[in-house]
Amino acid sequence: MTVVERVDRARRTLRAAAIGAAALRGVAAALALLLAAAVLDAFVSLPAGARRFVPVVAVITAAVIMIRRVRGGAAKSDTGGAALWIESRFPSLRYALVTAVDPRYAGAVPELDQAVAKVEFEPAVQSAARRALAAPAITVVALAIVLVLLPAGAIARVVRPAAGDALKLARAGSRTNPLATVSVRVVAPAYAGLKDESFDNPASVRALVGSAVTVEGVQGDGPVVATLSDHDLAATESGERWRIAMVMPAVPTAVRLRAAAHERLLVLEPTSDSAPVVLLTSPARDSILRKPAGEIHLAATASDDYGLASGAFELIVSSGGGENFTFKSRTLGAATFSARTGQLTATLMLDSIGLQGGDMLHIRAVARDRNSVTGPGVGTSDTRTLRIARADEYDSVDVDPAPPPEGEKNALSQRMLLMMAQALEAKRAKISHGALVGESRGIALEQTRLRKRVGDIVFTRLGEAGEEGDAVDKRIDQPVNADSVLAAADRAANATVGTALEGNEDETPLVATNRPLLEAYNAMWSASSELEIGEPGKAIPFMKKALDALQAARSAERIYLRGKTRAVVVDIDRVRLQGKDKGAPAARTPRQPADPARDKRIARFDVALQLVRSSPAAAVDSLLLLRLDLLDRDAGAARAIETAANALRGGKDATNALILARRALAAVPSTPVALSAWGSPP
Amino acid sequence: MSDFTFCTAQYDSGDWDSAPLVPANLIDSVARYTSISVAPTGVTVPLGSTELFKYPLAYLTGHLPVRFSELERRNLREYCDRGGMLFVDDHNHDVDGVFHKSATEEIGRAVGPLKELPNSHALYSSFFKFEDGPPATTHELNGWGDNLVHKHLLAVLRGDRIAVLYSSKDYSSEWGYHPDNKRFLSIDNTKFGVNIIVYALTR
Amino acid sequence: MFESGARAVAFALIAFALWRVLGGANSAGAQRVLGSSLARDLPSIESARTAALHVQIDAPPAPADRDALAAVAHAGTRVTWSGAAMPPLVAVATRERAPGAPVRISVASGTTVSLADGLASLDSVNATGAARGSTVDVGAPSGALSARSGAVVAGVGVPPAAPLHAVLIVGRAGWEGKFVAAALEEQGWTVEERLFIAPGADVLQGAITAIDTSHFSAIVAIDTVLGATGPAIARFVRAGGGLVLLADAANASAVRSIAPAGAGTRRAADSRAFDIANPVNAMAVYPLETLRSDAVRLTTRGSIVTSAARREGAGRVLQAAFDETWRWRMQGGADAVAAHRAWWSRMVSSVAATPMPAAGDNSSAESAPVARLVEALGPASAVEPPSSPARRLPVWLFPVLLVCLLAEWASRRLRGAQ
Repeated sequence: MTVVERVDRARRTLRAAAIGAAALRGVAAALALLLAAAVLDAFVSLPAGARRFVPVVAVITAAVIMIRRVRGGAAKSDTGGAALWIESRFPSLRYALVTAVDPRYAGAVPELDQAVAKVEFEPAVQSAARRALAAPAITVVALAIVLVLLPAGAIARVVRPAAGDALKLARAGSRTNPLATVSVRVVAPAYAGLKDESFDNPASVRALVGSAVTVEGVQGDGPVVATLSDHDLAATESGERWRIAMVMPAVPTAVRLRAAAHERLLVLEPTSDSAPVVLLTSPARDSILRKPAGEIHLAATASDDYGLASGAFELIVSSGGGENFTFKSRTLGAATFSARTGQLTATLMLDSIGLQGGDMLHIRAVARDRNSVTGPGVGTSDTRTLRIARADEYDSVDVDPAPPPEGEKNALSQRMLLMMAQALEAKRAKISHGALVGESRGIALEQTRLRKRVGDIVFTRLGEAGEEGDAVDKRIDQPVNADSVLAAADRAANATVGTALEGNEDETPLVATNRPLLEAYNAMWSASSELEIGEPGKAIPFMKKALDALQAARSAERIYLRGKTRAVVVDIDRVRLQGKDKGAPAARTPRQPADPARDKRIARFDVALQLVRSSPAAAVDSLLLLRLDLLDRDAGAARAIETAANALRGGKDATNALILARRALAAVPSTPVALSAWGSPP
Repeated sequence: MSDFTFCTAQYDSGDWDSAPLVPANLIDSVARYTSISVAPTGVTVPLGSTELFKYPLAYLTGHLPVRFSELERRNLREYCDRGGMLFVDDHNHDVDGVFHKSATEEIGRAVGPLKELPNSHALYSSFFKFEDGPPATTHELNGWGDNLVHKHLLAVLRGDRIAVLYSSKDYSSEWGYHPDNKRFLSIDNTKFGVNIIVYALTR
Repeated sequence: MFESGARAVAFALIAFALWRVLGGANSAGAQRVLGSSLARDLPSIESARTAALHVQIDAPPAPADRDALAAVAHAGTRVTWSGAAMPPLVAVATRERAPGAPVRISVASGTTVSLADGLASLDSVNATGAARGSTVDVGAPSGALSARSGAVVAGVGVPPAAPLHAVLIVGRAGWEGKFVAAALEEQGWTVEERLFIAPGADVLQGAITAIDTSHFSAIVAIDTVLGATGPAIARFVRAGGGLVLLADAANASAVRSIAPAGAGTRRAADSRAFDIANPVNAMAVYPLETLRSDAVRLTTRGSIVTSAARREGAGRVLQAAFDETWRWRMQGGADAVAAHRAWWSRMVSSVAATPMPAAGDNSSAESAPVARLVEALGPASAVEPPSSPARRLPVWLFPVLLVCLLAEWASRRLRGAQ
């Protein structure tokens, strides 16, 4: 082996040792950093955000140290450098080695090779390499042993920091406050597709309604009980831990955790799942169609905060007018979704839904979200209305409506009398017989009057209106034989009108129209007879029959005239105070102040403020309860109080937060000063 | 001192103008029974416009589906929050009807859920006394529509004041005649309308 | 021996100098004291009867100490003072006669002033503008209020909330009556009302049996219809009650004699759309015409007087020309409801009759400590006062001391000692 080869071999050995030592030093530095962070965290409980940086910093530190050490050893990376390093440890070489590896003299001077051959420097090189590796290796091993001996939770908090690992540092024990450190895990409803979340020592927890909320802590002084909306939840125990599971309620709620003399407050703040937002993009506006034919392209977009489930177009067709509308509805273009946004499209064939002139088609898009807990939330778009023009679209009739016809009045009165009889029958057991008969006769009197009015109508129509006075009264004071009366009338009518226009073959329109009224007349007679003897219960069936008969008569004749009416200008001066009735308004009751609880809230805040120095924990609880009251009333003040409570709980200076909270609570609305200071007290 | 002006709310969907004679009839009644300064004709104002806020009482009716636009919904909420009152009447007098279903849904979304108004409420004694609550209409008593006599009106309250008054009784039909025809009636059936207006003006 | 002697002389001279500077009083000359030790030194100052006294202060002395200094000056001692720049500071609190009214603190200083109450800091007020003052409303202070600027602390006496009676609203039934009552009630006022609907049919709230200052703090007339209340209004005002005449109410015969002016012909607002930015000017008005000589003009719109006030007997009458103020609430901006309430509350509170409140200054500190100091002792000395013999060191003292120390040092070096 030549001198150059020997030196080159030594160089490689030294180089490898230098790189190995650098790596070991880097590793040692990283381990030392982790150890220091773990120890520090055990004492001051580093926040998760800070702990998250520790592994990164450790790796970077290791890399920097290794690179610097490797670069520092670069002197021995060439043959000359290695030769010099050997020369420094073997002075007897007297630079023969350096000269021998010099490319200008390598192999050219035998004396040099001989002088070098006499010196065995390889063992020294090996020894130096071992020495270089030993110290950092021992350090690495020692640090690793210490880290292994640390509690598992301590090193995990540094190596794999995560929210909710506060409990890893807490130790169970009979003297431990089991509420001192709590971790809250929130599992959102499955439909939301949200990741589980954990929080260390939160003052409040925000989550979707229906989320599973598990509060966890280490066991200690007494069993833990949670009070939620006036009912208690006992903790379950598992190993050194206790757990309480609850469901996020629909309204903000304070959970009071208690264990022996310890108490802690946790505010549950539900967040709501918004209904989908739906936008109908086609048709873009309402319109009037000449003919119910052709097709219409329907398009809509929908979006939701957690996810859409389904959607469709909803159609309502309204037909008719005046008092007679009919409706039919259907859906179109139903679709299911598995994302937060979706599109609905469909084509509506107008011929297929049987539209007629004058019909109106109402179109809207509807989307449902995946909320399986409080929903599903339903979102709807604006509605577009398409109207089918009538053939007589531009015709108009000027109509002055007349007062209600006589028949309607009768129906109305019969319904009223029926209701009165039913009410009397209902209270029959509670009143005396005398009172029952008295009231019943009162109704009977009204029933008789109504019967006479119906009789007037019937007999007037039957052409006997000329027979006035006693003759008519005499005749209608008894039940009539409808058939005989109608037969006589029919004969008279047929003699003038001729053939039947409609109805049964054996019945003319005149008969068809008046038969129900005669039936009503007879039923009324029976009803009034029963009422006269104080039997409203027995009268009711007859009264119902009379009512049905009246309605049948009314249906047969009801005709509505509809048209655009003239704008009516009321002659105020003419009608002013011409009403027959006088009003007697009841006293007005005062309105409540805009925020009656404001002063009480400010007083509660002031009490909490006084507690800040003497009992910060109690102050925090007071602030959190106050915040609960403010959540749906004054979001700004609630936010400011939350900041103050968090600062106090974290042992930080809460002065500014408290000032802001107080300012928000006792906020004075700014008002334009319209008057000068004249109004100040003298 | 300005006049009280009867306002009919116009909404994008439906037949908001289905009871054109009700305003004149109620204006006539207000003049007939009270000294309240009242404009001789009513106005029609889009529910989504800022004009609505000039009229703290608005009347809304119809037979067809009621679908508010987002602007109408927002406007109505603001209107009620500031002290305005909306009187809604189902011209179909049918709780299974499309007006009732759609209007109550929309009111719920815009202002809040409708609840039964007790028959002892100040509305029934704000001018005339209605001991038994809302007076029945001929359309109810005749058994049309849902064939029910509705014992209560519905309302959304702000504090203890009515923000939205909802009727299934079809006062729109009951009061839908020319005011001159009142002379044919033995009992004026618009007196409850006067109560609604006086309530809005004084409570 | 020489060295010991020189050392002893040096120590003696230092001791003498210290005695002269710190404690040595020359009963026959002037004296200089520190503000911080004023309370301790005052008894000796009063007994010594020095010819001149100079007080070096960092903050205004306590009122008792300041008064004692004033007494010393009055007894013949020339008292002067100087110190670090102390900003003048005055803080005054007022409270409207309205339910839940905030405390309005007016600060004059020229610096930034921090406000605190018995519990904590409340706010800071920048009073460095051209006006050298500012005003801030504080919602609900607790305990004694104080204002601080640097070392100067001024107490702020808070008047107690005034006890109030009801407000009576009279007029025709309509939107104005409804919304004025709503605004005042929502602001916390107790409201009674008589709104005319029809002959013999008024909407009443409250008993309204006797219209006097033991029942009502103020009456608001929203129009000319005063009904049965009219005749009692003038008597009520003369007895100390307040009256707000809105729109054309001043033309009612029952109040015409006590109104600040007559109400002219109604003028509509300038623009059809309600001006959200300037709601007061967006309302129609009945201009105030022929103002009485004792009426105070409060607001104007161009050449039109829109509000004026006057005293009538023991009471006050405010006439506001505005018509349909309810439009502000319904048609105004986002904060219109609250602003309309506050505006009405302020109108009523500006005339409301209240029983005399109890003394309300709950602060032991003064509201203008620097001003009181200047008032008592005169302005701060611009230059150092005439040298106080008691404090002046002899000119020879330092050279002799130096010589002694040098001699002692030289002697030691000469004999080779360190």
